[in-house]
Amino acid sequence: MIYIYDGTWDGFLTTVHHFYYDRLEVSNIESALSYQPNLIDEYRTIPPDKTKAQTVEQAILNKISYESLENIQKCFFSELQGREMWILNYIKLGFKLGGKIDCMLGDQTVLNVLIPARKVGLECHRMLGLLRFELLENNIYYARLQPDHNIITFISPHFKERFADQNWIIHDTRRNLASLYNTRKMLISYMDLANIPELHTNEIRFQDLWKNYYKHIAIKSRYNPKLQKNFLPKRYWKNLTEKQ
Amino acid sequence: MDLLEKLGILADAAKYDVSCSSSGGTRNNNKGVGNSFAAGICHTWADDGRCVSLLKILLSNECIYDCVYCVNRASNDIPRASFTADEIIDLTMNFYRRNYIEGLFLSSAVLKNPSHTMELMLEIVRRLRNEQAFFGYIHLKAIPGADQRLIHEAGMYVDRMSVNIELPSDKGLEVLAPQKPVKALLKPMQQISQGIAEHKEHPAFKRGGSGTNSAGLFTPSVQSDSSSFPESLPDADFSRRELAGRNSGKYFVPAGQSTQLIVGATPDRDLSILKLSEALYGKFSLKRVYYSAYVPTLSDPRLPAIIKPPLLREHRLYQADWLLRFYGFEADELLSKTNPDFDPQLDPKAFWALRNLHLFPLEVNKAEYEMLLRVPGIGVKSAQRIVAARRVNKLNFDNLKKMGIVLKRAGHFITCQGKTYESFSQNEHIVKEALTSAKLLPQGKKAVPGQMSLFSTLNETGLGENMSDLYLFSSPENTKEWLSYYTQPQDGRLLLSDIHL
Repeated sequence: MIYIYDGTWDGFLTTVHHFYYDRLEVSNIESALSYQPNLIDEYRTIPPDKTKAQTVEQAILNKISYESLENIQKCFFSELQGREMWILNYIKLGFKLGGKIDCMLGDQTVLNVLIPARKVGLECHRMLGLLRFELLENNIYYARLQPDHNIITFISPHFKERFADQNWIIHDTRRNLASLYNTRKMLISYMDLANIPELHTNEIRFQDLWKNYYKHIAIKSRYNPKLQKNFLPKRYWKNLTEKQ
Repeated sequence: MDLLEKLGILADAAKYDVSCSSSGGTRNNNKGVGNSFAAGICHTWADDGRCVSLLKILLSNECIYDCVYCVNRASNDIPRASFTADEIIDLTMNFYRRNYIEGLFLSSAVLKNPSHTMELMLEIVRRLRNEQAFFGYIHLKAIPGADQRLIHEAGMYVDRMSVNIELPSDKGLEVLAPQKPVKALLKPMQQISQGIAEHKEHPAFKRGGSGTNSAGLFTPSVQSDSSSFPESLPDADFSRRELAGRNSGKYFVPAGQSTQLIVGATPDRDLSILKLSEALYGKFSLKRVYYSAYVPTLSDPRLPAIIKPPLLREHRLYQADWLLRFYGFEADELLSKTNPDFDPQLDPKAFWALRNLHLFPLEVNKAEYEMLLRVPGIGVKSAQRIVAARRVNKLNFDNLKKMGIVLKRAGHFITCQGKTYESFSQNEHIVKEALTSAKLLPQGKKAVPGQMSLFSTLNETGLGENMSDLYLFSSPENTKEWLSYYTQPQDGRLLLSDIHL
């Protein structure tokens, strides 16, 4: 039996709930957004159910640990192929062992979740620094990103705290997902922002100042593009003001 | 002169200061803009591979001193410029709000005299905190010789302060910086470290009241009775000033102080540099000592005639510095009078381990954490993982490999459940070959010398907010609709239904 869910976190947790209550042999869990059906396998679509999802989330918190829930969540949002079964196997092991699982750092089942979670953590940390906002004419700061993993939920609270008195938008153009903040509340929504308003009249001036600063701060006799690329992989350059 | 040109000149003048860190801050955003991130955040990396975290500029490069090693020396023929306070504030705020930087690193050449310079710098940081309600990171250079009261007051507003020693010995300073006696450098460092220590002990500071501070150190605007402070005032500017002022009483250089030593401008050996760092960490509780490979910017018969900065030596010193701060090593264990310099081929830990082969191998499942840290190929993170993982299961080499331990190196120093690793040897030459830097890495992926970075993963996952509550699953149709989100009446209770999606 292959379970199909709607691709969301709640939808995925609902399939975990079904796995425990349906008592069927589940060979895979796949997102409706990406699965390729074949004639041999049997499929079942699981509709998302918030109550069931919350039951599973609570069970992970109570029977395993907060740390595990964090890692599972990060692994899920890594969007790596195969993550659903890695997480299911992790949860199965976690329900047997409890919080001890957080110490099993050399175990393959644990690492299958831990390594994607670390990748997401690294990209989140990087993006806290690399995100670049542009001021639009209606006083909204707009930032665009195309991260490897779906990290917008993890990084947005940082900017909510930091830029509490600014209107801003963080827009994942790869996933058409954006977080919006209007100095009071933050929301995350799927959205296709086709027409971004014009830049504020001051914007280009500050971008030029920043580019000029960036150019001058490097010491020429220490020029080291390899080291630079180690820290700052080229795939992130596209949205960096100083690299335009 | 326009701002663009000025920024170029004063960034050029500041770039030989290698300090870049924005870590250790504890400031939270209190109704303004900005906050500290404990681990620090790098915002970009320049073409030389160095991280850019703070807007690092000089207030001015018009210096009355003539230190031989310094680009900004009075007798050097370079363009000179000075920022106004408004210019620096404008740049800092606008860069910060676009997430270019973590904050400001403000230094300066000595204009007229040290106290005058310090006063100008103090005004800038005071205005950033009080007028702009800026809670981002500020690193300020203390100017040696400036009035103690100015340095003390600046400490109330900034996160980190530093005094650069630059030359690691009295002799070097005497020859290359005759106007900067070593005593004048150590005095403000001592003052700052005392200030930090007193501030930590004094209960009044912990509560954040400003009333108990000695008079004269504060501007009048700060000496308000904080208890009667109303939550919101019609005049936003006034309320902001009050808030940041009250806030500044809570802190004194919360992220600690740092300094910088230039490597290669004087004949000092690695041993004396490392001993100096050790003393600074011990005596003045410094957070960081930075090492800067001497970059020949000028020629002078008193300076060594080198063509390239000694980058590998700088790298080895950073590695050794890490060993002092995070691995429990002492300078005397790493180097000695007979071995006063590091081996360019070997990192300092390997260099030590080779001379102490008799202490190994260690049984991974039993060894003390402190000893695990001393094994080449095991870093702080790996050692912590080992200690956590062995509580649950006995570890074998496969587990270690999966946990990220470099067995090619560590394999010579450890056993797992009594077994040795396949390539194990205690022959000094074989071990040395395995530990030699260049050979260790596959072709094309050689270690790149440079300042190291401790990557810490993000802890803030936003679990506090319920994720499903934040998500909207039907999307706005057009730009006008999502823009309406920002034109809602700002009464503080915007609901999902208000957005008409």
